[in-house]
Amino acid sequence: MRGEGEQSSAGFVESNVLCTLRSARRGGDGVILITGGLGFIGLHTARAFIDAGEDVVLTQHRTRPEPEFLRSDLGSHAFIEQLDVTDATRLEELGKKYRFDGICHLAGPGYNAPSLKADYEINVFGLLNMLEAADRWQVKRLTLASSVAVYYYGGVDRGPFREDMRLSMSASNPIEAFKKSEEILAWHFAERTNIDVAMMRIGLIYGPLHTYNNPAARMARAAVDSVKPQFPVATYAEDTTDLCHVSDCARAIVLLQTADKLIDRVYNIGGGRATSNQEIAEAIERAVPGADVTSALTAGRGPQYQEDRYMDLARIRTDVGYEPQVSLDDGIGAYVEWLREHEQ
Amino acid sequence: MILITGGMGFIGLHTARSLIDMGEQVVLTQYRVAREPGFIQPEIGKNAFVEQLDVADGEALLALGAKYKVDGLIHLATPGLGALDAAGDFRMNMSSLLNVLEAARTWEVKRLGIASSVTVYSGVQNGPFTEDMPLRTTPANAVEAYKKAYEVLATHYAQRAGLDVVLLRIAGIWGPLYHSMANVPSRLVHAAVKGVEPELRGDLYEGDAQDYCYVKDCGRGIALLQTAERLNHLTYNIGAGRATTNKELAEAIRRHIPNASLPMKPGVTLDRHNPYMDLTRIKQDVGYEPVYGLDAAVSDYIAWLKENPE
Repeated sequence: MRGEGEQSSAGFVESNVLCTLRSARRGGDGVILITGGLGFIGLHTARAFIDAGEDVVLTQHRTRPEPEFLRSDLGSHAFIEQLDVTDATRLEELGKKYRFDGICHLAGPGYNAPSLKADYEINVFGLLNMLEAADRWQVKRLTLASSVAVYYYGGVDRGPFREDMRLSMSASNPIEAFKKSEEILAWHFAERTNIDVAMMRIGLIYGPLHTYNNPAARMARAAVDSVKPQFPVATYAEDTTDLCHVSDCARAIVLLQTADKLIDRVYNIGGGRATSNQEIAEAIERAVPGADVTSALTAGRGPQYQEDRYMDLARIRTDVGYEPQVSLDDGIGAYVEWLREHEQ
Repeated sequence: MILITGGMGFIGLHTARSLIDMGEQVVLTQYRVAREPGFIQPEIGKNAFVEQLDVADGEALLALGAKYKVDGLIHLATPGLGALDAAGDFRMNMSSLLNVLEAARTWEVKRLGIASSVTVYSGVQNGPFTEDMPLRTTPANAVEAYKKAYEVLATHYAQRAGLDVVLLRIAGIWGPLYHSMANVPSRLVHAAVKGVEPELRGDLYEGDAQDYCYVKDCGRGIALLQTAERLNHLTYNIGAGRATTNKELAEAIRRHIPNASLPMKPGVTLDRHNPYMDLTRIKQDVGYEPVYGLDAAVSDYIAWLKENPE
């Protein structure tokens, strides 16, 4: 049984008919809601869900042009809706229009919140709305985007990072602060309500559609544009990150969302190795013959250097069979190609 | 003037007393419970002002800023354990935190003190517990969950807004006005004074121990941290600095009430060494020292209960 009010919603009846038709055809019986679905990771995740036979509703906060990325599936397997995650009324409207059996909550203000207060509200109360919706709609699972950043500050001296590590109750940047506190709050809510929640500690993701200004993106963009990369702060050749191609990340999210049963609530999603800026630069130079990006790096290790700064993947490997598949050269190659076709 | 949310609560009233003794004036907010114990009653309208407030109501909190010149804020208010469902608890706790952070910023207070708890050390095998210990992110109960979320978010807010925040990791507090009776010392003393058997949630074992701190020490610790010129750290333990066993509690009570019935089983069930908070930081930075030893605390509490039957 699902919540009241569905019978009165024409939208629900429509989509329910659609779902019934489709489930006969495709074996699915509901739709996955992806908040932040039109973001970088969201779009790739939507693609991976559709490829796995699921239908998705992608929400976005602002109105954006329809993504060419999913064009062939729009209106058939992918539906776009406007949603401010702090707006519980609007969320409930969507719950009446579609029959959700999973929520993948990726939306977050990143570094772009209009104010500190808004940052708190979008993160904390946005999470509460998803938790309540998951409970009310009785979805099979709610997956939540967390970040490798939870491991960065205090408490953890070196990698590899494991999900059961103890962490400091402080933070050095907004992502770390909000993701860490959201994990704690979601864990507790799940304990009290028995909703199925999986938290995903996501590594440094790159690939087509990625336009953020991290070192990998800056170097690739500069190489394609035949200019020297500019870094706002010194970027050290030997510093490393857990770099992961977006198609691997999207596949991991789909595996966690659709697995029958999960043994744990927290999972690392990454490349499972520490990739240095030097390695990234060299891969970019191989993909763009004649480019020089390595010379923009500062030699040696920076003050934030950590040994084995990558996430251990034993848990996600064992529980859902995830394995990163995209090599650095293949991943950078595809990314560079996409950058060539898309001017900044 | 220092505004204390939950100021008419158990720890709030003792904190208010300590602050007044240090020459401060306080605004005490209450949500529902109204009581004016003798040690605060003469101050009402002079050094202590009482206001009804739901801290989850941000506008109501900010309105108090127009009425009083608030230059310090201590956030002790917390929803009662089990009073709300999962979503209600989340909304109440997290709205309250946002509202006090915003009020502290708007009023440009000198310092915002925020109550945390010794419960954040749950899952740490052995003590003494120090403030820099890394902690688990998998809370076993509401207190552990919300206090940890409070710490992470308040730290972040402090950094970004340039707020002076102090996080107060408070031990198991007992003494006058403690009415929720969740911890052992208060239950035992109450029962002994009334001459009845204590109501317990399961058997007590003589060797089991916790960091139990007398509420007057706790109130003074909070007041010292709130009024110190500057602090070297963001997070401070406030406790007795030692683990008190159930057997020690019983012995201390029997020195005053020899025939008290305090049934306990021999042995230890908590497999945890030194389960108490290290007080190095608070001692060094603000000169805190617990002044109520176990005997003095038991004696003080018994005297209070005899004069003020609860």
